[in-house]
Amino acid sequence: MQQKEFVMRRRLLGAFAGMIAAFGASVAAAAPIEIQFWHPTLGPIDDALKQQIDSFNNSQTAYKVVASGRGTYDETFNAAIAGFRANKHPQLLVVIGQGTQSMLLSGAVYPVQDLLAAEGYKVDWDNYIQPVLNYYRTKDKKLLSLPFSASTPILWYNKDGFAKAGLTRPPVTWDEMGEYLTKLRAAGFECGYTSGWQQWVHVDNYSTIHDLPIATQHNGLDGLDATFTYNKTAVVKNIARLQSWVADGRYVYSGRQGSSATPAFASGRCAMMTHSSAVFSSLQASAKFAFEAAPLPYEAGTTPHNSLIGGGALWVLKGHKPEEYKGVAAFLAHLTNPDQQAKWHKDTGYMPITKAAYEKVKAEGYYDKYPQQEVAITQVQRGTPTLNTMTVRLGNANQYVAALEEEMEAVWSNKKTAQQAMDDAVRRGNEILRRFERQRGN
Amino acid sequence: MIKRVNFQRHKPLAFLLLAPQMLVLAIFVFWPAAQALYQAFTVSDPFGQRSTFVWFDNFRDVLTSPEYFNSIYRTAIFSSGTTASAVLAGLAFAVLVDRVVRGKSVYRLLVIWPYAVAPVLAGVLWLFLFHPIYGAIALMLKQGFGVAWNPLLDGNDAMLLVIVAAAWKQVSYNFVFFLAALQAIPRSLIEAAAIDGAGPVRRFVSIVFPLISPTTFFLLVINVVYAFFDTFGIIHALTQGGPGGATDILVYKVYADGFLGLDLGLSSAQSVILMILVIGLTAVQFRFLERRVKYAQ
Repeated sequence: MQQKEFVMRRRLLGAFAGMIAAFGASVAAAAPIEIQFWHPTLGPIDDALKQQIDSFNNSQTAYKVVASGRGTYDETFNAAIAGFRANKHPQLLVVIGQGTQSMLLSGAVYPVQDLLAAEGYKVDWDNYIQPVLNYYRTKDKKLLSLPFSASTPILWYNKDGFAKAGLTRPPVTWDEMGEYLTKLRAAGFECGYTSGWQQWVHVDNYSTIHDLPIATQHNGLDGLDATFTYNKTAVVKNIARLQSWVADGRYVYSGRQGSSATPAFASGRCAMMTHSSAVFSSLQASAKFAFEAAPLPYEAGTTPHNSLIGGGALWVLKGHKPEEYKGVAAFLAHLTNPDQQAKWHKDTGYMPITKAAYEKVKAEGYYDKYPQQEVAITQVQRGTPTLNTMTVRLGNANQYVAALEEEMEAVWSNKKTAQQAMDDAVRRGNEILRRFERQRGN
Repeated sequence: MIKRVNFQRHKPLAFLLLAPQMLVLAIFVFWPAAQALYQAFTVSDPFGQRSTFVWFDNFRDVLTSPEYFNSIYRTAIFSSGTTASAVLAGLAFAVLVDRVVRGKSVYRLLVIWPYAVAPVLAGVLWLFLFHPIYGAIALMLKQGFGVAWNPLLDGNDAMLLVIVAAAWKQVSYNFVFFLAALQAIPRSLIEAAAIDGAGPVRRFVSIVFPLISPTTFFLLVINVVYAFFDTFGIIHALTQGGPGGATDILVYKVYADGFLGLDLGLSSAQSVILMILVIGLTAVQFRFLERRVKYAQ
């Protein structure tokens, strides 16, 4: 009797367990397909990113984007390479703009334009802000990756400081800027001007704004055998002028990359700063004075062209399942809708990439309140893009940028003249480009 | 009388006991070193799609660059500066703490503390103090003492900063070893010298220092190796090799070309050269310095 009851109980338990298992399986079948999204941790911007992803995950049930912060841009890229070698790479990866050439030739990429077309999304690429897309396009205009954290360098200035020096509008040309700086120094600023991303501002963007080539082959777009040429252009004059500004405190060098220029300006020590348009949110949080933004100055007597964008782009990686790519396409479509773009732009200071989003934000009257946020968008649309101003498509960017920054430091510390330093930077840069060619089997 | 265990009759047991350690060494030291050696002769793309055997081309690219010879020169300054200051400061702290009667353990703890800080973190800490734009001590130097401190533009300032930051971390390590060595000196020797009328300085020079010479030699070797290999994190956080290459030491170039630039061939070639340099340097140290070391009575 007891024995029988025990068996019964066991059977019941077994049936119950079976039911649970079946239920579990059905839940698993309906579970959303996960899409891995690796990005650098961008500090205060991570919140805005999380909101974007949550809004996609909550808008449908088929897919779930799982974001994972991987440190700096370099660390994220390294992690993705390690992942790719072990076949454990994510579907989506954020790579800094300079890494475009490495990504393009990696054999690991599924071009965004191909993906969206294959998944049946009819994207009107003309509705995008063209100079922003151009940076990530191939020679035959195919879009490789989706601009994500897009920004461009602009001129930031201390409006209160300008008032003190009797200045009423931002400088338009670099020579005018020199005169402004003298006045600002006289008005008590120990530092007239500083810059984040000095190489991006004073070599890359200086060149594109004046329609000058940085390297042959249309800055590398047309071939891997490109060589640097900026030591033969007005860039040298620009660097020499900055050198003379260092001597009298008009220009104060605040270090490589962008992190220490911002505090130099936000603390009120420097009256002007050239820096990414995306520092808007951090200036808003830390500057205790009225600050404004203006387009980067240019040389008197020239017509300025568009500036270059920088920051991160979203790449789709090869080697995943077709149903996952459906989800990736849906996510990209979600990111590019005007509402998401407008929110991202306002939350972070990065640029909207569609004209629709820009018009929407403009119609809301947002730029009347925050004119600083519009400067980047108008600046990248100045003039007609030429083959000099489309992109910089050169490999091993990390190394040649480091070499160039080293040479620029040699100018600021008066170890070399601008010409010597640019010649050395070009020589070293060309060696680095030749290695890139060899790495790709040429 | 040194006690020795003899495995002459139990050879298999000896190898068995050694096996775990050898396995760890093989996986974490020999295999990567062999990989680096192989990669030094190849050119490959970061994604590992293709790799070409190029014989000595990577070495040629390294050794024909004038920047590399600047880097060797900077490494010599950096390594000797770091080693000398870390060893001397470690010794000084150990001698002082050895003489302290009350609160010895507190001092000991305080001096050992920095060793627990990761190199990159140490770099960031020093940056926050000495950065000319936002560093607290940098501002004090400038406004309080009128010192034109600017490691962003002045190569000597930058070198001084990275040497102090790199040595600071290593002082703790040296301190522990020196303190142990000092405490192992028989009191009777010191007392006998004192009775003979030797002052503290004389006692240190003639008795203490010779007796701790094995420790000093050991620390010298360890510190040189540290300065050559383990300092790229500090350089990266503080100067990134700048200004204008003033602190661009060899190991930082290996790191920057390999882990930031992803040129594994070039980076491996440099690490092979670095390895040869350090092996040579260590051999020289053993050959010439060790002679002056007195190991046992």
